[in-house]
Amino acid sequence: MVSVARRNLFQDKVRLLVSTGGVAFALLLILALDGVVEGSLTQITAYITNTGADVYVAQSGVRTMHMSASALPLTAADEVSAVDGVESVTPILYTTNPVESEEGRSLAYIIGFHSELGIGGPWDVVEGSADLSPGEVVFDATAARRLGVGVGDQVSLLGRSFVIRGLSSGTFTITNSVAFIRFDDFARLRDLPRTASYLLVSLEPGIDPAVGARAIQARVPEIEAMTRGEFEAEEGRVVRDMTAQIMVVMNGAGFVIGLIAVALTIYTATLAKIGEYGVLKALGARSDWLYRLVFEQALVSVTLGAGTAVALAYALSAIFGLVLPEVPLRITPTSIAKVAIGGGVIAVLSAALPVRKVGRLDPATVFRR
Amino acid sequence: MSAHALVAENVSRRFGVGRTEVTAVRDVSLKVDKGEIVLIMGPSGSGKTTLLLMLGALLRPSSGSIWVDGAETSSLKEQDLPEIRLKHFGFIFQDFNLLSALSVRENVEVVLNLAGVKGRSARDRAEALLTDLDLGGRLDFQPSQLSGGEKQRVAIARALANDPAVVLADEPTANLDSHIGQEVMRLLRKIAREQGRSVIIVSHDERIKDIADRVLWLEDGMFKSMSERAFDPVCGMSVNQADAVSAEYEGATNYFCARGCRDEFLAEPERFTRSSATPGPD
Amino acid sequence: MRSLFAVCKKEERDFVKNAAGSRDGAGVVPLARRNLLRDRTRLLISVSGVALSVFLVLLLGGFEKGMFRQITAYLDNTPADYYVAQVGVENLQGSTSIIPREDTLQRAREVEGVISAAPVLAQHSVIELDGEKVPTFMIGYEPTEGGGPWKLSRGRGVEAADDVVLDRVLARRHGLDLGDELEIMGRSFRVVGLSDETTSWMLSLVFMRHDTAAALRQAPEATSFVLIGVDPGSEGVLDRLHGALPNADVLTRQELAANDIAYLGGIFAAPLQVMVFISLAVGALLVGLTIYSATVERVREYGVLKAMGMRNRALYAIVIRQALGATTLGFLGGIVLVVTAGRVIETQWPQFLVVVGWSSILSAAGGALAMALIAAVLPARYVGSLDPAQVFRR
Repeated sequence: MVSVARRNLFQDKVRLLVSTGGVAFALLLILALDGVVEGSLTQITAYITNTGADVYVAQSGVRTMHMSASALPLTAADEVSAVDGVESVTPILYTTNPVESEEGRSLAYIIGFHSELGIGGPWDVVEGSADLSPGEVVFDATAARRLGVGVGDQVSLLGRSFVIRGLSSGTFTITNSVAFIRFDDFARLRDLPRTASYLLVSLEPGIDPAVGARAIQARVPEIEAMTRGEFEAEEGRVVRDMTAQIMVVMNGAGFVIGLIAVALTIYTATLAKIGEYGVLKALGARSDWLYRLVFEQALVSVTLGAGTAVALAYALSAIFGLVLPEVPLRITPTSIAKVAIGGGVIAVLSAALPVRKVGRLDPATVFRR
Repeated sequence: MSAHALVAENVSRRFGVGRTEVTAVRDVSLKVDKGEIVLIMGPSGSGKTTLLLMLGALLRPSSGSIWVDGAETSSLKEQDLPEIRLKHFGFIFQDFNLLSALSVRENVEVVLNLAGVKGRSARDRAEALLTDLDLGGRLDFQPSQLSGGEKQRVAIARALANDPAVVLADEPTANLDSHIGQEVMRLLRKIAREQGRSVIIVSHDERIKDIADRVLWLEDGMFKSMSERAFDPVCGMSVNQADAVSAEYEGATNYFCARGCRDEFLAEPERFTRSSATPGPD
Repeated sequence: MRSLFAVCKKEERDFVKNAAGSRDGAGVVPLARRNLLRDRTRLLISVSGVALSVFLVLLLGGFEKGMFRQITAYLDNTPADYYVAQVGVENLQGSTSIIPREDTLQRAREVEGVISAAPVLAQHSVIELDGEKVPTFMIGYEPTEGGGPWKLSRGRGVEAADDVVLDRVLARRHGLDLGDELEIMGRSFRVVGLSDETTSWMLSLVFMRHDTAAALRQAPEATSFVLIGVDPGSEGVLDRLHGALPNADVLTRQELAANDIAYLGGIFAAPLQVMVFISLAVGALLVGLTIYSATVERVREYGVLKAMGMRNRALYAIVIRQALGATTLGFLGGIVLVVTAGRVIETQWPQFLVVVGWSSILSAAGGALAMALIAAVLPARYVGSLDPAQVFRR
């Protein structure tokens, strides 16, 4: 079977290239924004995902970490420990503060953790160690490089000087990096002797986290107990709710621009061949056969464009990973599916205009000059 | 009716309504035998193209009937016409009208596909037809790489692809030089004689008369007898004796397209009489 | 002869004359315009494409500007000259500043030239309103000292411990009104006032009493910032403040605002630039596609012009003018779109502020110009490489 549609499209390579580019960039608008949002979601939940805790306990009414402050009396830790099925409870302190070197400053989450318990601290130490003595800090490796410091160097945070004991990876985000210090250092510097920000709870083996969280919630007053999954989801929703409207606008614009690019391609491609379509009609091609031809062109254009968009998105993601590690672009199957569905709709809609033109085409025009 | 490949009875075609109504073809009847070559000539605007469109099921007549292979096409619905064109007619155009994005073979293959012949068999048939027309070495060429004569031969192969009873050719030689034009005429005659197809040609090309079994003159939407026609000795235009302006000179009647030509003639008749026997350019 | 473009015979002759002589000037047949207007549907589609891409560029820029304006609203509207903050803290939005309240207030008030010192406890908090996560910037202030809402659309400032002033837009979005109750960090509050100019798409301001905010964070003796008002007549107050507060930083309002903008700008710069770049690229490709197909379908006509003696330079000019024409129309369309969208957003999603200034329009115009020139490259090369002899071949 001769594919007239494909032959027509590929006949003019320049036009094909330009139009594929147009569609690709339009769809890339959708993919890139999705990627940034998804990437930042991964980033901001990285700590929660990696502490190893099964259940998180926060101040009542606090269900997030990012852009939040939580304060619990340390006595709550004892109450949580007493709950059946709880294996261990580790308090952490948390705030947002700048980390300064001689070369500059970097905003960081400061996390005070019990380094001897190995929970709530850095999960990927790439240099040095997380076994902290008083006055020592584990700092994010990328942020440290930007501040021109390394293991053994000094940085100041919370108004005092710390020595870098280790460098961690995976702790650098679009808004800030992470610095880990000892819990007692944090408490002393912030004058919070009897307070924790969050409690990290490990359950006994075999206990369902949801059951454990419900039990803690029921037994201990004025707290918020969440499984790790719940806490991650709540954290993600901050970003999702905040960016929901922007996503609607940008996705809408990307979709419409993509539609315009494909419509323009198919329209010009059809117009360039309108005489030949007249010939085909005169030779006995039915209108619906020509409609399929137009639609196939639209579909092939969109497919090429969408494929290029996905490839570009991955390339962009790789480039960002190298150049701007704090802005990760994460391409998810969901956003690829979204682009695929959007592309399908685009193909159908963009074929509408030329289809009308082809439908009304009078085959007799072939004979009149 | 079996002897006739195509029959048209009292066919008329009007365009527009009321005061703007124009009758392009009026009350034309025509029977074309199998294997017959009919040449339709006539001045521009005489209704040749309109008649060809109606015969080829591209345009439905306002009144009258047309049969092809015993089936009436004039009463069919618009949506059934493509099928008729595909199966019963082969078209040859002045501009060749090949699809520029397709190779030579594919240009033939695509009309086979349209008629439901697909894959290997479509390919083979296209190749056979093209090879038969000495295009076996050009199968994978693009139309832009072909000469005019080669293009028209591809168009002829395409016209024959679905084994049509009637081949309709619109000025098939107009864009070709005389040598190549003759080659195309030879092919058209072969199609009629050896394959028994009827060939209807609309053309201004006087040379085609040589291969035609019948020459019809269409003027003002009607067939007129060739014997009633004369050539204006001044401008060389073919005119209808009944309608023309005339003047006697040396015992012979001369016919003119308009007064202007007659006046010019009468001023210096000897200038025109010597060459009056030869028709001028069309 | 074939009809040349969409130009009538008389113009055609003029055109050839013009082409042979000068390149520009009055009385020239507007060939580029005629070519563009020949196919209005295609022109319309490509102009809409450019309009949308310019619109996106302007919207993204306007959106960033609007966000900065919203983010510094508190600093811009609170009548304080200096902010005392924790050492190392240099912005309002990024870090959590903690300083001892009474000690700082006392030291500050003793400085000569200081006429007011107001403690403000500021912290981010994500509250939940009908199931939606709402990031807020909670400000605890002393009703008698200042630092609270500067423009109330309805109601009053906070008085009781469980009073709260909410942003008007935030309240409307979540169906809250004066007298309604809501829960923040496990504590119940009553809405007593609705404030104006206190929202952005990222954050809404929520005001409450200082002691309430301190209790919520279990830090009764702390504050975040001390807002210093200065006697306009006295000089050297900043130095004296530095001297009196060795364990704190003193920043001007402008420094804090600039740092906030730098911080947020740093977060949004890369994604925004990527989006702007993609938008411009799409625009260029769409104009390119239009001009390219308009050129290709008239290849014979360009050949005729070349055969008649038109130089490549003049042909390039025709192509470039077409690209500029389409882009200009699209650019104007983009401005109309962004102004319209700004109006719609203002009423529908007031948390977004779109500020389109002349500078953004200028830079979008620069982008559009680049778009047009890039779009003209391929068609111009195509016309340039055209062989005029092919006109005579069929």
